[in-house]
Amino acid sequence: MAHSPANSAAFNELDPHGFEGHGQHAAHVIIGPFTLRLVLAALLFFTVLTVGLAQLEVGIQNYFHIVLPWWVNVVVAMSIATVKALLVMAYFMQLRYDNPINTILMLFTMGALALFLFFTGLDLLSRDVIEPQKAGAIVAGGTGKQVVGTGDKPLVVAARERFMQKLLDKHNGNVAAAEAEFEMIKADVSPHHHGHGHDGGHALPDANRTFPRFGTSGALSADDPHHAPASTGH
Amino acid sequence: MSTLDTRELGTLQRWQRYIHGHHWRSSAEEFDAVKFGFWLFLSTEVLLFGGIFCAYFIFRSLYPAAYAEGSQALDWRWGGLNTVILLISSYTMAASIYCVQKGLFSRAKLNLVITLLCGLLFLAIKILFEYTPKWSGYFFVLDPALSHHAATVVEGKTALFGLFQYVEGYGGKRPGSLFDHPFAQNADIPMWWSVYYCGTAIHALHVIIGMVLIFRVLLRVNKGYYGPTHYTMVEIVGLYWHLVDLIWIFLFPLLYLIH
Amino acid sequence: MAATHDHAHHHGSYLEPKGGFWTTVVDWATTVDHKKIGVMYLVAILFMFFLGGVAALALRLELFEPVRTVVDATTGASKITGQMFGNPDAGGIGAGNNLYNRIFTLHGAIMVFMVIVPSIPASLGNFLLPIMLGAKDVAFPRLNLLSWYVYVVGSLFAVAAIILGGVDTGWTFYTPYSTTTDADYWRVTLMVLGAFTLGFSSILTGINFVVTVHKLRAPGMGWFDMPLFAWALYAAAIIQVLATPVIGITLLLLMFERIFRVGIFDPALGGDPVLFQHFFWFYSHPVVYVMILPGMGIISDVLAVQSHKKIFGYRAIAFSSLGIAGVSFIVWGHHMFASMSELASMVFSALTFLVAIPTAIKVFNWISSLYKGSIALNAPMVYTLIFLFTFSIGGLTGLPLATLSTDLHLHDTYFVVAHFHYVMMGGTIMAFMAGLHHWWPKMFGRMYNEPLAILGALVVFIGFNVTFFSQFFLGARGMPRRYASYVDEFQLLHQISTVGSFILLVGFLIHLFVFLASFATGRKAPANPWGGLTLEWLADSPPEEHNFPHEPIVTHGPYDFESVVPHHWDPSDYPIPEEHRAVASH
Repeated sequence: MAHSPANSAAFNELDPHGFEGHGQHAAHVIIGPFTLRLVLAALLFFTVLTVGLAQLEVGIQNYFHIVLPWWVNVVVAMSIATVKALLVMAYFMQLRYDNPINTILMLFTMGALALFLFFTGLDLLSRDVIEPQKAGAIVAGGTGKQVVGTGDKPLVVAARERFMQKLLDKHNGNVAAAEAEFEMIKADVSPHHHGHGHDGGHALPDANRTFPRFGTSGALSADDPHHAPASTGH
Repeated sequence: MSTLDTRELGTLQRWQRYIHGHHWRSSAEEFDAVKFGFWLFLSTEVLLFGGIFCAYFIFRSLYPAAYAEGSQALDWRWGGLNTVILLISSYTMAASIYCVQKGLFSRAKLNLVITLLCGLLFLAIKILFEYTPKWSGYFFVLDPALSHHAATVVEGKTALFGLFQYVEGYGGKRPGSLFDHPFAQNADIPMWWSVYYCGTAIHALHVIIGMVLIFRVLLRVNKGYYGPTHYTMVEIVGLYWHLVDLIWIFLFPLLYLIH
Repeated sequence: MAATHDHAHHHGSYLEPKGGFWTTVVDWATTVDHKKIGVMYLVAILFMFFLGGVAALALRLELFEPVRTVVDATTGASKITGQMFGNPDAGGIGAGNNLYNRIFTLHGAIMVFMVIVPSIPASLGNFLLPIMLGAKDVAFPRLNLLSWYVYVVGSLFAVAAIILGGVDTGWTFYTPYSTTTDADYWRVTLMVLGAFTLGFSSILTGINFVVTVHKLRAPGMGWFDMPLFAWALYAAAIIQVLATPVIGITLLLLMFERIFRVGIFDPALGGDPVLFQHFFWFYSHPVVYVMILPGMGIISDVLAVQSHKKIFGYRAIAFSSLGIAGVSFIVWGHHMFASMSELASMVFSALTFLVAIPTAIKVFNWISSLYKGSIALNAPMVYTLIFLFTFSIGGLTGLPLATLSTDLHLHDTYFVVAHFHYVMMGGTIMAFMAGLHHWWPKMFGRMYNEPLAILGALVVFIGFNVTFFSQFFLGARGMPRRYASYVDEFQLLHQISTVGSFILLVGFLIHLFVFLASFATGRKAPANPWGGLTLEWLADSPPEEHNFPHEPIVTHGPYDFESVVPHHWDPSDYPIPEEHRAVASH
C-alpha cells in the first residue's frame, strides 16, 4: 500500500494518463461581433472623453483663470486610460474568459512596475531634503557645467544663439532686422498659447535653478580658505 | 464558408490535419499553455516599457514646466487620430480571430488586412507628420499644418523630389545633445524630447514587429493553416497587437494631454 | 482524437548518435530535446567559467605585489596582452590601470551574465525539470533551442567586444563613465548588446520553466509533490520573467545615450546618472536570487537523498523560495547606499533585512533534515556540507552590508567582494558542483571516481576559503575594490588570497580530470545509484529520448524515505522501519 501524497492532483484511477476527456482547460471562448463593437464604441467614447477633459482644463485656465492643481490632469487622464486598458484586456484579450492565472500574472506585473516607480521616485524626488545634522557641510549650488561645446550654456540658450547668428549672417549684421525676423518666425512656429498662466517671458531659467544641485561648502577640508557657512538654514 | 464547405473540396485543410505537440495530452492543453506562456512574454514587454514610464515619471516630476511646454509642441489631433486608428485596428484584429473561429476565412483575411493598413497609417502619421517636421523642419507637402506656417515657409527649399517643404525655425526638436530648436522657453526641454522620442520610437518598433507577425498570420490563413479547431497563432499575434495598443493608450495622454 | 502512446519498451539513450559524424552534429544543432540542450549549455557554461576564472587568476597575480607589475610589464606575455588591449607601450599610469580594469570587467561580465545566471537553470534545470515532473519535454521545446542560440549569439557579442580590446567600465556599466568612455569605438556598445541579448535567453528559459511547472506535471503530482528543485526553478523563473526586461530597457537606453546622446543619464542635460543605477539594480538584485535559488533547490534535493531522510519542513522551504523571490524586488537600493538620498537609503536598509528571514528558514530546515539521517559522505554530500558552511558565511556577512551605517564604510571595499563571492561561488557554484556530481550518473550513464572527487571538493573548499576569507579583513581595513595597486600594509593578505586562488585552480582541475575520466573509464551507472524517490531516478541512466517508456503516475511524495522503497533498490539493504515496510514502491 503506497503512501498517498500530501496533496495530489485529482486523476482518474481508471484512466490516469487522461486519454479520455480533455483534463482541465478553459473552453474555447468565442467573443461575438456585437460585444466587440460595443467595446470599440466604449473605447472611442473614452478617447473623446479624455481629449475633451484635457481641452476643458485648458479652457478653464484661459477663460476663468483658475489654475487647477497639477495632479488633476494626471489623475483624470490615467483613470480614463486605466478604464480603456481594462476594457482592452478583458474583452479584446479575453482575460475575462480565460484561466484566472493570466489575470493574476498581469496583476503581479503591474505590482512589480509600481514597486519600481515607487522606490525610484522615493530616491530621486527626495534629493532636496537636507538632514539638519548635515546642513553645515552642504550648500545648495552646483557646478554650473553644461554640455561640452556650448560654452557651459544650457542647450536651449545655445540653440537660440546659433539661430540668431544664422539670421545675423543672413541680414549682414543688421541686428534690428535679424531680431525682427526672429520674432516673426517665433510667432509663426510656436504653439498658440493664449496667454497661459505660467512661464510668460521672464528670464530663461538655467538648469541650476530648475533641478536642485548640491555641492560641499569646503568646510570639510581643514586648510580650505572658505569658512563654513552658518549651521542653520537651508 | 463553413467547415463543411472546405471538406467538400475533397482534401483536408492544414488546420484540420493539425496534431498537437507530443508532450501535451490534448490540443486544448497545448492552447492553454501557449496562451499562458505568451502572457508571460507580454508581462516582459510591459516591464520593458515600464522603464520608459519610470523615466517619464521621474523627469516630469522634476521638470513639470518643461514637460508642459513640450507637450504643447505636440499636436493632440495627430495623437488622437493615431489612438483611434490603433483602437480600430485592435477591433479588427479581435474580429479576425472571431472569423477564424467561425471558419469565415475571407472575412478574417479582410480584417487582418485592415489591421495591417491601420498599422501602416499609424506609422505614416508618426513619421511623416510628427517625427520629420519636429526633427528637421521639413513638412510633408500634404500636411494640413503647413498652411499655418505660410510666413516661415522657405520657398524652394524642398527635399525628396519636392515631397517635403522646409519651414524655418520649426525643426530641431531633438533629444538631448542633438537639440537645436531656437524658440524653447524652458531650459530642460531636451529631457522632454529624449523621453518622447525614446518612448514613441520603441513603441513604433513594436508596431513594426506586430505588423510583421500579422502579415505572417495573414499568409498562413490564406494557405489554410488556421481554422475553427486550430487558431492558436492568430490568438497569440492578436494578444501582441492588443498590447501595442495598450501601451499607446497610456502613452497618448501622458505625452499629448499635459497642460 | 487520442494522443499517441510511446511503445512500452525502452528506447536507446538520448546520447546515442543517430548516424555518422555530420548527422550527429546536425542532430545536436537542431535538437529540441531538453536533455541535449541542457548538455550543450553545460559545456558552454563550464567553458565560460574557465575563461572567467583565467581572468580572475590574472587579477590575483597582479595583486600579489602592491605596485602594478603584470599589467605594466614591457616584456613577455604581458606586453602582448597590453598591446592587444590598446596600450602601445603597456606602461604608464593610465595604461596599466586600463588593462587591469578591462580584465576585471571581463571577469565580472562573463561570470555574471554567461556563467552564474544560466548555470543551474539552463544546464541542470533544462535537463532535469521535465524528467522530475514526469514530462517528455519542457513546455516549449523549440523556444528552448532558441534560448540556446540566443545565448550563443549574446556570448559572441561579448567575446567580440573583448577581442576588439575589451571594456573597462566594470560589469555594472555605471554612467556617466560608460556613456562617455571609449567614444571612438564600438566596444562598450557591443558588450552592452551582448548582455542585452543574454537577457533574452534568460527570459525564454524563464517562460518555459513557469509553464512547464504549471502544465506538465505527471498525474498524481500536485504542487506539493514536486521535488524542491522544481519549486526553486519555478521561483527563479518568475524572477527571470519579471526582472530581466528592466535590464533590457536599461541597456537599450544606455546604447541610445552613447549613440544619440539623449541625455537621460547625463546631468549636464538634466538627466541623472543615479537613475541608471536604479534601472540597473532593479534587475541585478533579483538576478542574484535567480543565481542562488536553484542552488538552494539542489541542496534540498541532494541533502534529502544523500541522508535518506525526509526533508524537514517541505512547505516552509517551498514557500520560502517564493518569499525570497518576492522580497528580492524591493531591496535593490542596498547596492546604492552611497548614491541615494537618506530617506531612500533608510527604507531600503530596513527592507533588506527581510530577505534574511526566508533564507534562514531554509538553512535551519536543512540542518534539521540532516539530524538523524543516514548520511552518505560522497561528493554531492561533501559539496552540500561545504555549501552550508560557505553560504552561511556569505549570508551573515550580508548583514553588515545591509546595515546602512556600516555599509557606508564597507561600500566598494573588498568586504563586498568577499561577501558576494561567498554567496555566488560559495553558494551557487558549490551547489552546482553538488548537483553535477549527484546527477552525473543520470545524465551521462557513468559513475565518477568518488575518492578523487572528494579530494577535489576538499581542495576547492580550502582554496576558496583561503582566497576569500582574507578579503573580509582586507575590506574591513579599507582596501578598495577594483584597484590594481595598493598600499604596502595590505600585501600579506593579498598574497594569501592569491595563493588560495591557485589552490582553487588545482581543485577545479582535479574535477575536470575526474569528469573526463568518467567518460573513459567510469563504471556504468545504475538507474538509481543513490536511492532517490523522485521521478528522475525512474528513468534510465542516461535517459531515453522521451525520458520514460510510458508516462509515470505519482503515488507518493518526493522524500517519503521512511515508507517507500526506492525504485531499483534492494529492499534487504534498505533500512525501512518495521511499521512502514512497503511491498512495492509504485
